[in-house]
Amino acid sequence: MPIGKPQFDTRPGVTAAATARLWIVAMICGFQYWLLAASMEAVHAGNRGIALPAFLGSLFCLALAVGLVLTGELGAYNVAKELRDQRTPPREP
Amino acid sequence: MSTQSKPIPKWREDFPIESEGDDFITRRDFLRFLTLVSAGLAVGNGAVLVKSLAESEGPFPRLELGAVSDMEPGTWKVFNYPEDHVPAILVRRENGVYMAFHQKCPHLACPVSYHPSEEGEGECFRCHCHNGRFDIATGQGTHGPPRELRPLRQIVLEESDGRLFATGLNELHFT
Repeated sequence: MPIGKPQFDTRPGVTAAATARLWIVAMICGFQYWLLAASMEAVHAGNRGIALPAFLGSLFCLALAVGLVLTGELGAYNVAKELRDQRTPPREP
Repeated sequence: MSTQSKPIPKWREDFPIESEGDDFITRRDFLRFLTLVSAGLAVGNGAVLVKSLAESEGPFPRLELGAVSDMEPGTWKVFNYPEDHVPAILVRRENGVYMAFHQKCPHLACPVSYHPSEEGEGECFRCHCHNGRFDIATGQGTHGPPRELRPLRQIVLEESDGRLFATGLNELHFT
């Protein structure tokens, strides 16, 4: 019985890239947590002007995280699609 | 070959949570979860922004605190200002000057108390939860966790006809 082709992305460096994405998003989350705590502390102290820049900074971090995740997801989707297309026999006219 | 079902351990009866997928949380799943966490933190920052826009300070009430001669130097008492649920501390310093501050420690909101210089550390406010100390003149933390945080909010006092009044809160200055 022939061994089938893998169902997932096996290009070199894919695992390292995924791990890197994971670490970067984890660090982004850590920074956002600090930002939330610091802005809450500042607002409680009466420094209300800091809330808007902190919110925008947090949104930027979220956009970065979503962008990184989408990059990984789209890459995996494209490779899976490519593999599917290779397995599908061409239709006869 | 007979198939024997494995006996269910006792602890599983107490914790009837499906765990078949527990060992198969992939890196991608964890990454998606972290993105959700990131979104939650952004929403939290949004809530802080909404709170900061909704709250406005002042005008402050004029609250009578008693006669100027009521308190001896080196004594203190608590009152509530500007709202009934906000605790504040009124001190007559050893030099006779009155000072008033919010009583909540900026670290974890424990109440602060006045300590005269005869206790050996100089006149100061102290928070006993984490041994924080504050400068008596400015309310700035000088020891412990409050050293890194905002100062105690100072209450503006006014003397009129031998009576003492709280009239507002001092502006905060940020560096």
